[in-house]
Amino acid sequence: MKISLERRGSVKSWHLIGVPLLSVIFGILVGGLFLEATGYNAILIFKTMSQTSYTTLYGIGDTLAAATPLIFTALAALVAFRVNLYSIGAEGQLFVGGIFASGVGIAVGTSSSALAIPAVLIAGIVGGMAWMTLPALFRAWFGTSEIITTLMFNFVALFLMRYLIYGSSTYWRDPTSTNFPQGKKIDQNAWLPRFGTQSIHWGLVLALVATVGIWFLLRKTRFGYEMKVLGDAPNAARYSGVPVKRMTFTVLIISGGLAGLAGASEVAGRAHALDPNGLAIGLGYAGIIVATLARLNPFGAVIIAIGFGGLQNSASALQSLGTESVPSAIATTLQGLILLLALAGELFVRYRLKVSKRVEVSA
Amino acid sequence: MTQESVLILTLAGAIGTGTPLVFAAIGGVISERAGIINLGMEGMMLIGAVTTFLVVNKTGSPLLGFIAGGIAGALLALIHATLAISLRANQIVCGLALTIFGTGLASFIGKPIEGANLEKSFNKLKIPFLSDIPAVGPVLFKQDGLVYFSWFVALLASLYLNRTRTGLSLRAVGENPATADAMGLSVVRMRYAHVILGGLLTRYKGS
Repeated sequence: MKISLERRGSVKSWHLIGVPLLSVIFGILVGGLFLEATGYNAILIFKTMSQTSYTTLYGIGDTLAAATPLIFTALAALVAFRVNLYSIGAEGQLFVGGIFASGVGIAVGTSSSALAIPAVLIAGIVGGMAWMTLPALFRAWFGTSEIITTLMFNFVALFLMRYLIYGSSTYWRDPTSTNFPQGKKIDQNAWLPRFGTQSIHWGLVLALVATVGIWFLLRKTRFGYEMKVLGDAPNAARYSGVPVKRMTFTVLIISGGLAGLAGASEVAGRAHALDPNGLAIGLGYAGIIVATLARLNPFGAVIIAIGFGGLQNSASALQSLGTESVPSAIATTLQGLILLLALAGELFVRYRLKVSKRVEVSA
Repeated sequence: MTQESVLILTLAGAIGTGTPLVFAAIGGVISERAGIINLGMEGMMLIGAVTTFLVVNKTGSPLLGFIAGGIAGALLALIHATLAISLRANQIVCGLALTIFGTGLASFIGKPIEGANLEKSFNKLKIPFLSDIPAVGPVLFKQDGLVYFSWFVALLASLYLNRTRTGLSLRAVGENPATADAMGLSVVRMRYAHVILGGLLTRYKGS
C-alpha cells in the first residue's frame, strides 16, 4: 500500500468549511484525551469553557469584547500577508497605538466626547503607522526582511510601554497610585461607549466597519486589484507598471494603522489607561494566526476571531472551578493545539490522500 | 568592592546569561540555513526548560536534564518540521502557533513546581592557569561547563556549515531548493533533519 498526496481538481465549498471544522473537533478531542491523561475532568472543563464563552449572554459579551482587538490585528496581518509581506509587528504597533491613544486621551479628555473619541482613535492609528514606518521604509527601498525588523520593534515597543509606567514618572503614569504603578486613567469623555452587556464597546462596531472597509479596498478598488497582482505574480505586477516599492510601503503602513487602532480601541474601550497589565500580551501574534486560519479573508477573520476570543476568555473561569481547579494555562495549550491541527488540516483543503495498492511489475 | 570587580562580575554574569541565547541562536541558524524559519523557538526553549527542571529534580543529574531538555525541544521541532515541510503550512504562522502551544504547555506542566528551586546544577569549572589571568580570567574561564560547551557547539556548527559535505549541501537546500533537488539531494529529508537538530539545540537550561 502506498499513501500519497494528490492535488484536488477543484476545491468544493464544503471542504472550505468542513475541513477546519473537523480540525477543531479533532483538536478538542486530543486536548480532552490529554486532560484525562493528566488527571483532570475533561468534560467538566469543556462545559465550563463553553459556558463562560459561548452559551450565556454574559459570556458572549465577554467573548465579543475579547475578539475586538483580534479582528483589528487579524486585518492588519491579512492586508500585509496578501502581498507576501510577512509583518509580525502588529504586537508592537498595538502597544504604540495604545501609548499614543492614551497620551491624547489624557490631554483632550475634558473636551466633549464628539471631539475626544475621534482624537484618541486617530492618535492610535498614527501611533501604529509611525511604528511601522521604519520597517516599511527598509523593506520597500532596501529589501530588509520585514519579519526580522517588525519582530524586533515589538520588543522595543513592549519595553517602552513598561518603562513609561513602571520605570519612570512620566505623563502616562498615575501619580496618585503609590503602592503599585498604574497608568493614568483617561477622562470618561474619551471612553468608547459600551452597549448591550457590560463589556462590549463601540470598538467592536469599529472593527466590523474596518472589516467591510478592508474587504472593499481589496475587492472593489484599483489599489486592491494591484495588491492582488503583486501578491500572486510579483513579476507581472512589475512589468505592468505597478509601483512595487510604493505599494509595499503603503500596504505595510495600512497594516500598522489597523494594529494601532487595535491599541486605541483597547485603551479607550477596555483598559481606559495605558496599563501593561490591561493590554493583553500576544494579541498581535494571535491576529496573524486568526488571519491565516481565515485564509486571509476579512469576514472569515471576524468569525475566527470570535472563536479565538472565546478560548482566551474562558481561561480565567477555569481557575475558579473550586476543587476541580485547573491551571489557566490549559486554555493556552488548547489554543495552540487547535491551531496546530487547523494548520495541518489546511493541506486537505487543497490535497487529498490517495491510497493505492502497490503495483507489482512482473516480468 | 572596587569598580573593576563590579565590571568583571557584570561581564561574567553576562556570559552566563547569554549562554542559552548561544544555543538558541545556533539552533536558529541551522534551521534557517535549511530554509525553514523557526519562530517557535520561544516555545521550544520553554518546554526544554521545564523538562530539564523536572528531570534534574527527579534524577539529581544536571547532565540527564540537559539531554532530556534537548529531546523535548527536538520533539517540538518535529511538529514544526511536519507542519512546515510535509503539510506545507505557512512557516511563520506555524512557528507562532508552536510558541503559543509551548508557552501554554510549559506553564501547565510547570504549575505544580512553580517557585521551586533547582536542586542541583552544573558546577562552576575553573580552568587552571587561564582563570588566573587578571580581568579576562574570571570573566571567561570561571564559568559552568555549559558555557564552555556552548563555545564548542558554536565552533562545531561553523565548521559543519562551511567545511563539510553535508553542511554545504544543507546550504544549497536552503538557498536554492530547486537546484539542490536537481543535484539529487533530498530537500525534504535535509530540512527535516536540520529543523530537528535546530530544535535540539534550541533549548534552555532552567536554572
